[in-house]
Amino acid sequence: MDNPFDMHDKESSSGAFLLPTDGEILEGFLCPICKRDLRTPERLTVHVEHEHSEEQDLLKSLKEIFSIARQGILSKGKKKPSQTGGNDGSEPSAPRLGSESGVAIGSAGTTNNPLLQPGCNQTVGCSCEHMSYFKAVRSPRLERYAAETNKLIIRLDKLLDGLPAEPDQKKRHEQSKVPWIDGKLVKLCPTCAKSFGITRRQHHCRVCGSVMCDGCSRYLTLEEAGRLVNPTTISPVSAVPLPTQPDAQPVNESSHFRVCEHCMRLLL
Amino acid sequence: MNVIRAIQLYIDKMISDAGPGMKLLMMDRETISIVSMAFAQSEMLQKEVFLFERLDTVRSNEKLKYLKCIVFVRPTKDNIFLLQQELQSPKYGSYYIYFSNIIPRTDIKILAESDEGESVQDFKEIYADYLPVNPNLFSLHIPTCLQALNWNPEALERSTQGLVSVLLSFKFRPAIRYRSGSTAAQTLAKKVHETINKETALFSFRPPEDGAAPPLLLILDRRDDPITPLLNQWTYQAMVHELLTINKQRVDLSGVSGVPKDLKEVVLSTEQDEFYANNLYANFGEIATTIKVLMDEFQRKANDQRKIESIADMKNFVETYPQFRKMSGTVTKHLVLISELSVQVGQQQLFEVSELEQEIACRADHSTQLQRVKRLVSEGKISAANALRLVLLYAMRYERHANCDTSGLLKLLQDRGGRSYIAPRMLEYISTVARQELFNTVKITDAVKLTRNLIKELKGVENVYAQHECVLKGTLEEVIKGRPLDAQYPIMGNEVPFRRPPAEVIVFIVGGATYEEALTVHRYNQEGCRIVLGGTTIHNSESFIEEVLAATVG
Repeated sequence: MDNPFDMHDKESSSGAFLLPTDGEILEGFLCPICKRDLRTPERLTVHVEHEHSEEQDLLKSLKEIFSIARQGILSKGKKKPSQTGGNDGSEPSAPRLGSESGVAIGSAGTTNNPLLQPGCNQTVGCSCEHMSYFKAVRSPRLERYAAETNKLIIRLDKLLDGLPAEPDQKKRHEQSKVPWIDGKLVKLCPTCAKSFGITRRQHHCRVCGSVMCDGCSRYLTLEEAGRLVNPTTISPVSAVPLPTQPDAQPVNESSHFRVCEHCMRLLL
Repeated sequence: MNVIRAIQLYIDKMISDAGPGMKLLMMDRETISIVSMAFAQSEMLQKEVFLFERLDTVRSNEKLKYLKCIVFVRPTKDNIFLLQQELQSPKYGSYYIYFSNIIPRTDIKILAESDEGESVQDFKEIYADYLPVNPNLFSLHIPTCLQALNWNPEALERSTQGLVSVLLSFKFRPAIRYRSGSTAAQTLAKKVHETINKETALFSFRPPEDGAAPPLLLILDRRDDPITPLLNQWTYQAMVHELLTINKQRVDLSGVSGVPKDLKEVVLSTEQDEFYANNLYANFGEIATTIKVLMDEFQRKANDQRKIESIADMKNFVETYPQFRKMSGTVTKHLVLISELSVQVGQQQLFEVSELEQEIACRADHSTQLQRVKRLVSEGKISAANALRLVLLYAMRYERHANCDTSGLLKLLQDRGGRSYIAPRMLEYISTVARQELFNTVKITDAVKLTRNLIKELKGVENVYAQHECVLKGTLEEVIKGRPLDAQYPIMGNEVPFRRPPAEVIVFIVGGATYEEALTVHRYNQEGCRIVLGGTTIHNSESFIEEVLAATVG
């Protein structure tokens, strides 16, 4: 967490930062090179000039180069794989059981205990991403749904626009906005496959225009339609659309749209 | 080359890729063990992962849309099915799916089609499909992998997948060598080779600098060295496993008397327990001294805590108290373990038993050994398991000997109530190579080996309990020195074998590895080599006997 009382404008101080390895939070006027806390800006500038001047840096890098070269020369004689700089294995080696010959033991001073060494040379292993293929499969399906649903919403919008209250005029209005399929062509209800006759009359879905019987029709209230078209308006009623059951609710033609099951599933 | 670190890096990346916010980790039965062996729960909490769930258990139906769900599972048929159901009715806000091994395209398609709510934000394979036991030891937790001396098909599948994931997490494209004469090793080598060739895109790493040999994957067979799992061990980790059984870093102490309630089950992890990490391979005597040092330090700290006189002291006390508590927990845990170990050593007379075991394993001195075995088996004070071990070792070594009295010993064992039917099964299990090399039934004509044996006889031994050298040691010796391996370890595929020794070696033992072999590998690593050992499981003598029984059925 950033401490708001830290000075952010001093270029040579850093605010609190989290070291990922030891989890300590350092705060204050820190030298960016050696991370020492130097309490005041004057001391900080003096410290940088003194300790980390150009000549000091040069000297230090020269020393580092020498030590690395020395390590490299010593290790070549033992067929050790080369390890990059910073391997100060100063931890004591684990105690050994008896002594066994056969393996050449001979280390120049420090024995590196690989168990306790931080995995400084190790990077994350392989991984393979499949998101692009996943999306490639997913999007056509979603688009199909999304495109159809969008079409239906546009039609709903058109239907709601200027809807007359009276049933006859409403029917005419609906017919004018959405083309209704000719009833003579449809002999069986597409949803339940029962034939139409005197008792079972054809009805049309207001949104897509297809034919269905009364048992398979679903009803969409004007409120729900309005909410689907304009989802940002906050209505005083609950946010969940009421489940429409054709038998349970009293159906009042004037306040409902008759829609088929397919469109209902897409819209809700 | 640290397997624990490899898994940790993978899991770190997985979690950080999901971004900030509250996260939930959904795993299956096997990946939950993998994750728990790499990280402690507190470390996961620090990464903002607050809940852990299993894909296969029935969960509540509450929707928690503000959580990000990171799914980390193995690519099995059941998991795909369960994931499909989950995606069809998503409970969480967004899903980041990671499979622990290669997943076929058809399954990706199935999942993509069931994701109607667009809740999947990321879909990757990360190859963390093995259990990291120690930094140089991994296991696949397959208790028995052979059936009628041939691979069990599920075990073969799992082993291939596990090995491939080890290779990918270190980014190796290795030369594969397998033990000649062992069909199991050959089958596994072939399958791994096929997989590498199939997934050329994944395995297209930059070849090592010219001159250096490619890394080596060496597949060995447990049947070549049946002695090592049967011996009693004297290094800390091996001893605890042998006497108390370490199961995925947990030791069950409920059968032990005098144990405080919260130590019924202890966790032994090198990552969280520094004392344990330092003393993994320390032998029994050294452990006593180091625990005394730890106790002294603990007492000193406790005394320091008592002197609270000023506000500064109080502040120090409060700040260092959690560490103090942690240390006291560690000290109690190890004290309980070590006391239990010494109690068992006393009860089962392990000193005597172990000395005899090592004698039989290393030297051929028939008459005295037979007498001693007879005496110990009939004595009754040593446990049936130990008696069985001695008889098995005797039977293996003196199978072809003129005065072999295995049947007599088996009768003695049966009188005691031991399981003597195991002996013929064990003899069936060991391979011909083992018979030749370990027990010198074939005349040794190789001059090098003759001289080496002679020198060993003359030199004598420093520590009686540690004189046994596992077969792996000799093998690794040859590998590191760059000696030609083609005779005993043919190479899979038609690559030209390199003359120089490899820089990195991964050894996989079909049928299980042991902690003694891990110790050998550790010694070599200390010299500067980079070797990782793995096995289908980590054996102690009981699990090994179970494996032998299962393998010789039919």
